[in-house]
Amino acid sequence: MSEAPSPSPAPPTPTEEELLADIGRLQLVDVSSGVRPEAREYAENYINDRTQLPEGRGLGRLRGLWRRIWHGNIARDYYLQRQQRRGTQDIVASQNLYQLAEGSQADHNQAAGAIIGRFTSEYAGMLAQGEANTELAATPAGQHLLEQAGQLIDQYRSNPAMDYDALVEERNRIVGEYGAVVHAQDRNRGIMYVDNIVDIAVNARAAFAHGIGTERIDAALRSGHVGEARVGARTEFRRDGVDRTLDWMHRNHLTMFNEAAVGVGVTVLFTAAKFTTKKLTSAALAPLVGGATAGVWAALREKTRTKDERQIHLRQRAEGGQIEDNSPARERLEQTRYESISAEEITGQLDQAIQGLDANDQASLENALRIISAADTYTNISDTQSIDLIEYSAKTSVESQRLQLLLSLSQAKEVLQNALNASPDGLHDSRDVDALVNLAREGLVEFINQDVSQKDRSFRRYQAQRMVKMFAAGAIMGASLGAAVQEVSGAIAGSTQGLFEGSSDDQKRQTFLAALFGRSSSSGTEDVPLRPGYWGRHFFEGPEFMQDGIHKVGVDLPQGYQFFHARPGEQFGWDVIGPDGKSAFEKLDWDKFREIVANDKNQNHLHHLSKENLGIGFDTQGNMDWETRKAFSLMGWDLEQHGLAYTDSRTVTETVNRSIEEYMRLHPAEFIRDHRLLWFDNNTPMYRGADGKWYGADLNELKLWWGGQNGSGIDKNGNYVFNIANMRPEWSFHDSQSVNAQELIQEGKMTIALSMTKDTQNFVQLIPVDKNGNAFIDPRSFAGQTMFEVRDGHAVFTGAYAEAAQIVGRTEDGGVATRMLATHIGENNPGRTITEVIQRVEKYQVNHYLTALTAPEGGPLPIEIPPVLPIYSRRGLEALATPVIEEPYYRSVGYMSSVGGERGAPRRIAPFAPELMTNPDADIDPRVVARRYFDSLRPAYHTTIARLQKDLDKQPKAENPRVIVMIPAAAHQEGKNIYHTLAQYARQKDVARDDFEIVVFVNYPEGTRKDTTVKEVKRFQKEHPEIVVKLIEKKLQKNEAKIGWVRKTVADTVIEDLMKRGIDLKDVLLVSNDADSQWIDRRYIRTLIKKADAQPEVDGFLGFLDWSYDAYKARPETLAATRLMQMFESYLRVKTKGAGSSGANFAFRPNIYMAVGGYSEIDKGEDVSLGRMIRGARSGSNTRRPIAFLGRSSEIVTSSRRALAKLLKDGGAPIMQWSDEFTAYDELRNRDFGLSNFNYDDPDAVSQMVNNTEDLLNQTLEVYKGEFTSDTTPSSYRTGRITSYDSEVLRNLTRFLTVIGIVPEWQPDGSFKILDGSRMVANLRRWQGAH
Amino acid sequence: MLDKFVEELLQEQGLPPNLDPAVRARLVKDLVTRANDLINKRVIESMDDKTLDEFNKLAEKNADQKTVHDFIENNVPNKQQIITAALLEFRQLYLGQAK
Repeated sequence: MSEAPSPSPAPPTPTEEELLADIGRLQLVDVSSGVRPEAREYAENYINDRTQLPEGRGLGRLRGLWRRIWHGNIARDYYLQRQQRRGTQDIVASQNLYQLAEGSQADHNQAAGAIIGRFTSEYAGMLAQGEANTELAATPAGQHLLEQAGQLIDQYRSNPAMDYDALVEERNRIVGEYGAVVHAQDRNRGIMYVDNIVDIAVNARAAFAHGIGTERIDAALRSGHVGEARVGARTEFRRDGVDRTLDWMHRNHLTMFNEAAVGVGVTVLFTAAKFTTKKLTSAALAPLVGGATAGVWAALREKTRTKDERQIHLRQRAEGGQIEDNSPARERLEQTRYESISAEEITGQLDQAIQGLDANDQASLENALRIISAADTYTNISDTQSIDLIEYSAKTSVESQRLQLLLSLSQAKEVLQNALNASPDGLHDSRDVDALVNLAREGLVEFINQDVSQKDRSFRRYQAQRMVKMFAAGAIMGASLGAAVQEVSGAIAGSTQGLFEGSSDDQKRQTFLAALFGRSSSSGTEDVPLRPGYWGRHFFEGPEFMQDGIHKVGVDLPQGYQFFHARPGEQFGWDVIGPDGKSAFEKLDWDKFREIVANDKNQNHLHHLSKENLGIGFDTQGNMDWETRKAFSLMGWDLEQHGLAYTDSRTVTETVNRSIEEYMRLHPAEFIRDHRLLWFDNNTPMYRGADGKWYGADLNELKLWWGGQNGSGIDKNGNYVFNIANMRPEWSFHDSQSVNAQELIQEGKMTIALSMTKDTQNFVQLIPVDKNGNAFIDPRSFAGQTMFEVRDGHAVFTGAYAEAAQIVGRTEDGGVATRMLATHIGENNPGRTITEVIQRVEKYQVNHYLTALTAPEGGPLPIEIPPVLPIYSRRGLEALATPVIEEPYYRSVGYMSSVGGERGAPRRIAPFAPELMTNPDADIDPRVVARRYFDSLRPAYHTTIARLQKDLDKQPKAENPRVIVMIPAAAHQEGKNIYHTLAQYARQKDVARDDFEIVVFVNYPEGTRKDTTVKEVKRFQKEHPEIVVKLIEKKLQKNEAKIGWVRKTVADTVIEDLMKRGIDLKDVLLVSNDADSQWIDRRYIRTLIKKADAQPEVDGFLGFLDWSYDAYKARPETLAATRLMQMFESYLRVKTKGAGSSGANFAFRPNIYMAVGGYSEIDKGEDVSLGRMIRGARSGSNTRRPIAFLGRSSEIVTSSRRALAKLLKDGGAPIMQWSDEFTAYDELRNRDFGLSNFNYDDPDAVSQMVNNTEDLLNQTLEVYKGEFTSDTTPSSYRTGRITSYDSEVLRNLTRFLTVIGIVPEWQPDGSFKILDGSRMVANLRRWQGAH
Repeated sequence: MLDKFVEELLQEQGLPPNLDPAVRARLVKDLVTRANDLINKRVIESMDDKTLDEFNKLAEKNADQKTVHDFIENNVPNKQQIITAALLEFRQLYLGQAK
């Protein structure tokens, strides 16, 4: 497509008063309110894009389902918060409110100008509810800003050496410092300001240049204001309110519930969700209850999400978004959208109403009153209720259209008031316009309230339907998954029970799966090793108190930062790790740090902090030491010391003396009830020896001996030892019962039962007997302390009885049944006290320091870890279409019309070459403009082009290329065309290999399959090494799949590549071509080089474009209409001494491209927009030509597929082919039109063709006629209806039609009818034969 | 009560029994804070616009704990379900069973 320019108006020269007036209003406005919703919308779009992939087949369908599960449900909150954080950072870093919405810097500047315009307006009512504007001087920070801004303005005015960039940089510093002071706690929340400091400085310099004295200029700078604006659509994201309230609760450690409420919840989970389930019934119940709970969860989340989606929808629709076909979710939400009015329409109505106002005409007064009331009411309710009742044409137009609406409203009220004052008595109840507006609005308010109420009800119904649906999905999936998880968890975890566990008699753990496959699961409760990252710090960010081996240290880090101890046990081993996984100290200027430490004489430095050996130091109270504080300060961190007093707990070990009774009471488990069933027989008359022991015949009753060293009863470890190893197997019997003592010992069924006293002998302590017949008593144990003593190196039993007993079994009362084989009778005089070592937890008061650290650029916002249950898929909202530009976009000249003043934003055609504002003839230094331009790019986008540039860098290069041809190629559709297109460059003549390069940017939207495009490019590279063809490739995300984005990306990549290669951008011409060129003139490249050299004053060059002949042969009317279009273009080029631009054949210099902000990232019209911006940037120039025509030697014949598609679709002319939507997804490139030559021998077909031609030519004329002017008359197309043509115009139009072969009959509305088309038919037939 | 809930989570996660008590205490404290935040979030999200507006006013007035509890008691009828669901969500989140 191409476009001829409209005449460029010279910028108006400001008067002295205007210059001084502009100086006098320093205004700073906080626009942070616009950052968060933008980031939020960006995040929602991210989710929506990933859940709205086209349905594929097989794996593609599975991938789509998985994405809807993962992005739409499981990890939705996580991605939302992550993208919101990234979006916020992108906006603030770029200082462009519309950065995430593909808005240019110029869009931002326009909005900023509108906001400043609103806040500096003299009219009342320009600020909405919730907006404020106060004196800067009212606060110390504001006063400081005012002084600094004043100094900066004065410096720029008086110092010609200070350039614009330095001015902007200094402004950023001043405003940044102010923001840091007044928003110290919220710096990472997206704080952003707009202001007019730079404009004032520029105006001050201009005023000075106009000869206005310094004193007058200085005097004009009055006190400044700082305001807080509500930016963008009015519908607020409810989540913003939720987040704010959550912050408040978190800061104040508040809970939503009491202990009882959470107790019930915990109990439900404990009993039903398998925490401690030990029975089959409990385990089976768990997933069912879990399913119900998951259903509740899903329903609640759905409630929130539908509300979020409605808010998104309302905002986006208010910002001009258009619903596309097949968007069921959007269409449903649209039914809940409030009735709204268009800002542009109501503004136009206001302007018309006051233009036609007549104080004596009651109808005109009432009409004005009605429109004013409507505008006032809708605006007011929108602001006060935070709902969108006013819609704007585009997101980037909201602020400017709001400004215009408010201005028109204020002016209309003023004019109406004057009219009322002058109107005859009795016409109205009042002459006060406000009173009349209030009266008139009552009915309107009622209507709006009813509508709001009805739409809210409609939404609640929809919400309820969604909740029920999601409850069911959640409950089913939760229950199913709960059962599955139960099984898997039971199979692998010792602490979780499977559904079928516990069902067998032997109580072995066995899961359902294991039962199916006959495998016994492992059981037991062995320790689970600590998994790396299991209690990873990412999960526990926040204030930290940690033990470093010497003392506790405390820090409060920004979220995303972590505190690690690299050398446990050492005092100085801590390091701070940033969100990027790197030490924060990597940003420290170590040389400077060492110098500071070395020069500080007053400190006793330990030099623990060095580049090689990081170690943050703390004193004994956790106070960060001097070196560490210095290092953080040097890196720009803020440090804040907090004294903390808190209660901590610790375990204390102590020794206590207890009585026997007290000990037995406290340790009942150590004593067991002994049921003695019998005593095996004794053999002898016993006698007591001189040593007091019993001797005599022995049926094992005397075989309970002292063990240990030499029978002392004490072993080498100090344990008391009894031994029964000498018992004879056959000697213990009673009546018919007998036992084999040796077998019992080996089977572990012998024990020593210790009775403390005869009175307490029913409760004994049992000491096991090992296979060697030994029973060991720890001297520190209760028995060791109370029933044994050492006398003369020998153990003495001071208890009542030590009995060697056979354990028969357990008794019902929890005791044991025993049979006695031997008894050692003690002194029956045990110790009366026992010393016990115990541990107890005590609380104590701690006085400590906590160091709060704030990173210089703020930390990332917290990220919610993705929830995991229940699993179900969920689609997000469908994307909205970019707002349709109402006027034929290729003829629009609206972009450059705003030249400042109160009704519009400042004129900023070239945001990266501001010198053009005051001097449109200025040379643009490519290095300077490149720095500004690339600095403004989004970091993520910059990463993309950096990667692509690396790919370019690996490929063969031309030595000193003069021309870089850039060809976007859709890799899913251009496989049939690209080789043929490239072959056209191989046949160029009179150019050397190093004169030009071709960069093919192969791109394919996500979800599409690549065709042979890449293979074809590579085949060409191989077969034509004499041509430098480079290939770069990228899969496009949905938001990237726009021709504007693609052209911008390839252009930016090429420029970055040229700069990295050290090639002077002044010497290079960038050329935009298409991938389906069918024929290119062999002189094409040579023409470009020659023209670029010969016309250095030209910024861009438009090449000649024609369309493929097969279409002309098959549908001759398209040839006639195309030729008329080309003649119009040619006529306008001559008349305006300029040309338009085209995507298929346009060349431009890199500096002007960057100066205007590059291609717009839109889905059509990016080429025309670029040309328009270039012409706008040079508007008023005397020595430059924005765009020149290259002539016929630059001809490219491109595909006629769009023209044909338009013709077949609705009979549209070739000029209308760009008016339809076309995207990277369309299938037009592969469409076979089945063309065959037109049959001129068929009279009916010829007659129809002539009629068609008349229609197409009139369509073409309709588009262009607004541009036709003569030197002496204004545009002949002003009010939408032509009454007559200027004679010069009419003469030319008739001439063009005559060339085609038509005799026209002009109609009153400016169209024509074909009186005689016979010569045209003959011409077309001749052309068909010749081609 | 949340302490107990968190202790159970740690046990389920397979926390070594010989873990340093100070580390364990820190884990419990952190998890309790997280669980509390999640419950707060889910309760707030469940409020209708009018209730949320009123609750936001409490925040603006910097209301105390008792006022918050009373407000929730009187204005969030299904709080028990929400708390239970939030606890379940937190448990699933922490144990990562559905990964």
